[in-house]
Amino acid sequence: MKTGLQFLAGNEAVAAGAALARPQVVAVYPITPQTTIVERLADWHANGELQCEFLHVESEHSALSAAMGASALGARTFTATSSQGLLYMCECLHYAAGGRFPIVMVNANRALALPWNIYGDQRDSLSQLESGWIQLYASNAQEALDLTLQAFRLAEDPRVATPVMLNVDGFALTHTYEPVQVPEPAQAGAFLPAFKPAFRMDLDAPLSLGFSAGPRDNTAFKIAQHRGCLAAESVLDEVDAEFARHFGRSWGGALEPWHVDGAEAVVVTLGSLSGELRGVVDALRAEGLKVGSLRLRLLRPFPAEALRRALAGARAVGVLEKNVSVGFEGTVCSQVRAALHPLGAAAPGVAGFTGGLGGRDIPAAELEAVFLGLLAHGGTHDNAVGWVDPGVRDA
Amino acid sequence: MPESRIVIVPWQAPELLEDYPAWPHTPSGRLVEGHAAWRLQRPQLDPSLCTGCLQCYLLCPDAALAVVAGALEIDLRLCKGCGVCAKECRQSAIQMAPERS
Amino acid sequence: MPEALSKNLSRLGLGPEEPFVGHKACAGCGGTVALRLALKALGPRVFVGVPAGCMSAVAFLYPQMAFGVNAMISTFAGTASLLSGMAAAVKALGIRDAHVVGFAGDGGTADIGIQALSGAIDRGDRIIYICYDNEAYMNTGVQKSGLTPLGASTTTSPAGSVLKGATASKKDFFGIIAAHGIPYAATASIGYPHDYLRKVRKAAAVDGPSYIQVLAPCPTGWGSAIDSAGELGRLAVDCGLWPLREYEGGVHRLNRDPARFSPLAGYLAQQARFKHLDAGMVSRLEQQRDEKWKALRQWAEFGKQAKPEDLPITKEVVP
Repeated sequence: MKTGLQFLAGNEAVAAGAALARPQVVAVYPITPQTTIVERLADWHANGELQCEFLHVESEHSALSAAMGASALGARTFTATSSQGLLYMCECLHYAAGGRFPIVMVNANRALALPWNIYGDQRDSLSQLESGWIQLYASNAQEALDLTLQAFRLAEDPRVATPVMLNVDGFALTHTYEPVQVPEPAQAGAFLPAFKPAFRMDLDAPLSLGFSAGPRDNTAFKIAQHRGCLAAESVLDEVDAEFARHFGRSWGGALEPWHVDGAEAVVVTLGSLSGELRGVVDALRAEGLKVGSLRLRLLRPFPAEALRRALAGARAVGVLEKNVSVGFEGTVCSQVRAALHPLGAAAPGVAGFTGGLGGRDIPAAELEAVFLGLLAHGGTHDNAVGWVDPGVRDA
Repeated sequence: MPESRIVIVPWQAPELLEDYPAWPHTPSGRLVEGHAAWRLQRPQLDPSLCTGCLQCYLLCPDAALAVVAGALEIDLRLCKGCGVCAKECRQSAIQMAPERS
Repeated sequence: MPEALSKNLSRLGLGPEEPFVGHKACAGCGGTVALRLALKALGPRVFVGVPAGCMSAVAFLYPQMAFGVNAMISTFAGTASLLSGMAAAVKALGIRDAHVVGFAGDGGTADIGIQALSGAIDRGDRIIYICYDNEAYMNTGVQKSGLTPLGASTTTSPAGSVLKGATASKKDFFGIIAAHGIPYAATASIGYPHDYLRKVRKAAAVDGPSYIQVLAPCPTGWGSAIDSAGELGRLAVDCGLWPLREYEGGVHRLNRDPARFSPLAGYLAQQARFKHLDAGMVSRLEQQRDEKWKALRQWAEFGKQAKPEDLPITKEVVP
């Protein structure tokens, strides 16, 4: 693996981050568009650079199941998936989170069948928000590498003890080449030392894992799990600060605001779409419009309080996601709305926007229109979905 | 060789969250109750008939039979009264008798 | 008597520790005998995986933990994949002299668990996989599985006026496992515990995957007497419905090849799940048994006669 400044695709950056984390067991299964992550890990494993047990599992369900088995013995584990694969392991997602296994998994955000589509959108991870996993969203290749390293520290912190899903936009991020600083292994090792499990199967102190808890006791474990996930927001800030001390760059924790202070209209989004949005914000600000954008880097736990503080001054908030919760509105939109509700009468109006499904690009002009609409109309007074450049119209 | 004593320690559900395990994992082998109350019948061993074949010991689902100081013992805390031991014994050294209330 | 007891105990090679005790299985459960004996034979240095099913449901009810060794409940489909992960960690962490062992029922093995088990064998992972076969999904209340025998009445294949119990034969699951070229596989029965223990020990010595399918009679699900598990475990073997066999080094072997089988009726009559079978059906079952044994004997003969170069190539896994 070459270190220093490299020209890498997002997946290669993720693979570098994963390899630098020195996982002891890696479960491998292919699915577009994450496959090049595991291919790169396979290359390094085959030439002896990556010392780990490399499991060619026979499905994604087995990938996460095997990761849990390895984690149960106290090994650091990693896997990657996308879309149909993420859903195939759905049962295991809940299992791993409830079992508090500090597994790190990268999910290449991709559309869900049906219809079939291999391109990037955000339905896969958003459909699994209930699983209990911490969910992070990267917006560029450097961040993807860095968050991969941060994810292990976050998951393995005993106050958190929750698996982490790092999401990277399919093709837009996974396959786009950017300049990336790849840390030296010694640097990475200093930031992320060997895994010290909070619990493990130990031949000297045998453990029974994943037991049944009935009506009397079940809630106690779910409260503990809930609090562990909630703790991740502040622990992420600590991890990011520590990361800055080691690598000289910081990402800023749960939120990434762009000219939100003083903005009348703010568009909230996830992932690499934020790059386009920043360009549009800059252009509109140059025309004197008070607009800003806000990227949610951390979606679970949901940074409700931080979001309220950031958006309290805005008049209108648009939530733009590559997803819709069929039969209602955008998932992230609902959650932003709910987070802002405690602001009462002072809460900004919220409007939900869905675009980019199935890998469809969103032209800058359409994004401009979103801002202009927010400035003109504030939020919506219903849950209608604002389709952004759907490429089709009604008669 | 020291005998293995199976320990059963009664337990009360904690009231405080901090007294529950932090996650659904807990040390192995902790037993809080036996199953004597399941029995409708109990085994009675006549050692004079026993040839020491250990078929009862092998086939007991509940590990209620043990060899302690060279003798077969039945742990009535664990025995559910299934009668497999009596059925398996070719010497009829174990008979099942009704469990007294 | 004390001398015989002690002598036989030391011959068995089983210590006083009970790694599986205090579970809430039905009184007379055959499955728990399979687990208890295997775990006693394997010793305390084990990592155990058990899927959703009877054995996990009765052994991990917080706070009562019936496994005294490291044990974890896996997802229903994920026993073998959990074991693969454990085996990988054993290697990665440099743990020596320990076994990774799983206990899954017939449904969790031959139906929903088949994919993961196939993968684990294909990878050559060092795991001992023990299927306790009680011939139905028992934990959910006796539903038909892929290993439910022809004609058996279950709640999803009940004996009615039109359909008379399960309409398909058991999958030849042992054959499926052997076809992977697994280093070692065996059938066993709790009715022949010494044979079972011997096979568990052979499995433990394999540097790779091993598989044991142990007949674990379920009086609750089979509708037999509460004390019948051991006897039914013997009768199933003696009447030829449950051959005791091994697959090792590419060779099939019959452990018992009786000149005469005990009558099928003697086995079937003790179980309510077969009570609706008429003479024609019993005859059909006898015929199937006889045909199966013809094939088994041919395989065993081939194994005895074959020169090493004739043997089917077993699974190659480069360490």
